Amino acid sequence: MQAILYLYRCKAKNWFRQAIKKPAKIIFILFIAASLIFTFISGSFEMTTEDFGYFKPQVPQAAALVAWGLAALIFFSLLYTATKSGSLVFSPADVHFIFTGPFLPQNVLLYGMLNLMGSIIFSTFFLLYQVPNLLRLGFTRGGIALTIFFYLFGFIVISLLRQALFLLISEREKLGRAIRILVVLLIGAGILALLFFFLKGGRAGELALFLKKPAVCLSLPVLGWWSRLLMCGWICFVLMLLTAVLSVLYSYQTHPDFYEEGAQQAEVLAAAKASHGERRRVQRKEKKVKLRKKGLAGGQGESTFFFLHLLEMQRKRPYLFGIPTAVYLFAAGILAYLASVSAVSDITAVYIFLWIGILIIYFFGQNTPLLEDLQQPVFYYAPGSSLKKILWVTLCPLLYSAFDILPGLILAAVFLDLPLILPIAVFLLVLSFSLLVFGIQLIVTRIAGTMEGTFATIIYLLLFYFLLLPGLFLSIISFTLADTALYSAVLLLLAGVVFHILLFILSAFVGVRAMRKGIEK
Amino acid sequence: MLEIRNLSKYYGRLAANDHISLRIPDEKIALLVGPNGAGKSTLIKSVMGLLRYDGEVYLDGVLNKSREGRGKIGYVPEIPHLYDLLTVWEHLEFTARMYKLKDWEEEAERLLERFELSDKRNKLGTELSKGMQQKVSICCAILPKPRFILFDEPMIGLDPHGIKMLKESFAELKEEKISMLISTHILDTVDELWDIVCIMMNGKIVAVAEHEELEAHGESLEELFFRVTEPYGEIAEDMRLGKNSGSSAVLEEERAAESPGRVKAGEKAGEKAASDNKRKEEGEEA
Repeated sequence: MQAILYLYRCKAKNWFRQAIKKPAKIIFILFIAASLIFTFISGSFEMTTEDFGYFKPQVPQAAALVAWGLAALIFFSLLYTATKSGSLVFSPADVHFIFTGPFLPQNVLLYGMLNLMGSIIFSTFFLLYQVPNLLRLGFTRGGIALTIFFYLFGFIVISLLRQALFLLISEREKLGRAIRILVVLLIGAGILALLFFFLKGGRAGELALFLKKPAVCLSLPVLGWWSRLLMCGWICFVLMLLTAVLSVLYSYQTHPDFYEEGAQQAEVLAAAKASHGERRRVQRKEKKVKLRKKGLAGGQGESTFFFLHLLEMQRKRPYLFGIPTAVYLFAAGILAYLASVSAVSDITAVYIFLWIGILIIYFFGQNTPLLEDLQQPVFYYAPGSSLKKILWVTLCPLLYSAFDILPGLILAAVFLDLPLILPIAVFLLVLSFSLLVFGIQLIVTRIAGTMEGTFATIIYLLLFYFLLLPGLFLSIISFTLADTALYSAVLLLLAGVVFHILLFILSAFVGVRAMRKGIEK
Repeated sequence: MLEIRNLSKYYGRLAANDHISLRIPDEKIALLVGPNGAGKSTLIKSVMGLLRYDGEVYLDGVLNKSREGRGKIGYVPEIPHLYDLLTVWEHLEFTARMYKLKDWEEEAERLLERFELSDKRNKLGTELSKGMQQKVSICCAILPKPRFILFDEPMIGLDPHGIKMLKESFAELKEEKISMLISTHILDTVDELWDIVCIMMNGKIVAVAEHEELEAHGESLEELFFRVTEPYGEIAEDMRLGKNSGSSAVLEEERAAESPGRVKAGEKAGEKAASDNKRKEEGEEA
């Protein structure tokens, strides 16, 4: 144990030393911390409890739903990983030193569990962000502290239970498979029950009242107990404590032999981390060999890159439809349904749709042709203007982003009976957000890790949060308030789009500068 | 004493280690040699307790996977993995704390000196080259002075100077009565320091020889290695081409008769090689 503590101490100390050497890292952390404090302070002062008067009667229900949702998400995901070697999180260095060291296997497993504590602590940030809201919802400060404590406690108990479960099934393949199927069935049954409940006209408030009942909580071991605990139910604390003790006792009674799976898992994780770039390069190379065999559909000079990626996309998505298209359609369908049963207002549905669009662009935009090309030497030494190359390469994902959102947006517009200007606004905003993402990618990829890069990222985020989003909200609110505000709102939206195009071109110039530097080198 | 009893390790249907039994007495340097894919690393990892296998491994009568057993073995893997955020010295201190060593600093300094790492003591794991990492890994394995050290291809990544240092360390460790099992396919790894050689092929130990015995017959390690391993290759090739492997088997029997007791598993080399080859093919199919 002393050695493990020493290991953690050294890791933390050296991480800090390394961070000091790279001020960009420190600035980014400070930025995140400042945004957290800012949220906390602004949340506490901007709105009073009275502002939330409307929500007051729903407070306990909302808390119950959040507690259940959070507990179910963590509980089932941890339980599922217990049936696989996913519960073994070790590094190759751990295999080299800890696995071969004079430790009890159970202690090695506990060390592996400690490795996961970082993610648990990180997830408590989610709760910290909610402190102002929890206060407004009627929680006392003591209650909030207890909720955070119970959240951490529950997480640790479930991790211990997961460890015990993993040990139970580690050498019983059939039992492991049965439990895995059971977990999947339970999740499926839960989702079906929820769907059935809402399709039958059930309301969120009714569901919350049902889930709040002590009998319901107590009858569902661990998951129910933890949910109840998050609402400060003391009996469940004892039950959870008992679960933890029994899990630890069971773990220490077994003779676990997880070293092979642990070492394999560590290798896989390390290889994935190390070869991520390499693998992607190989995949790209293979893709381009295939493309060469077929030939490009068109293009000359810089535009060849556009046709190259167009062909790649055609190969990836022969019928144009991709996962984002499906997600947009699905979201539009759900929102249209929710609006039809008056669960959400039309304008809220548009908001949600817009946010889904932004999230899709953000997550699916992580692997754009632009990023891939920026890592290809050929992109640098191919003849032609750097700026043109960047613009051509960006055109392909932009077209696909536009296509992805269209079917869902049309569906939502028809079913929600939206005024034409609203879907157009959403469409333009999503496209302008795409440009923002591409611009950030350009800058961050080219000058990542430098002071310049960090400041660029922060400025972009600040611009986005403090300039674009308020403008966006104002414009949409103005639609709902009065038609007279329509023209100013449209102007604001168009300004937003133009602003993003300008930002993107500026980013492109930064990229071009960096490319030229690279070529010179 | 390291005792391996009937150890088998299967990957699907492929027998990476096939019913291996081996005994390495105290204060001996044992070489584990064999061609690529013979199962050397699997055997080393199994002895280290990093794999699940059938059979038993004992160190001074203690099971290798027990806490006590783990305390008796040191391990130098083929590819060193250091902690990114630990310095060279901190790796040594971490090892010392793991093994609850007392007054280890002097020995650690000496090891750093020997492996020319003194000026790298404050470098992080990520800041070291592969060869340097291997040296740190070796220092960490030696520092607790375990009863037994397993080296899996320790020369890989080391420069000629590093190899020389390591060879000197082998001699020192031997003097300190630490036994070693060194897996390698570089036959002059330990020059004349070795005591026992185990030759592996297709997951089996096909020959075990002692240094003195080999010297008495006037045969070098290299000659023994090729004598034992090449006929198998020929037989395998014949079988692949559908030829009768009888001649090779006779040849092996004749050779075994010439040097009785040295080629342990070579009595019916043709049959064994045929079955090994079949198993290997099945494994590859699997």
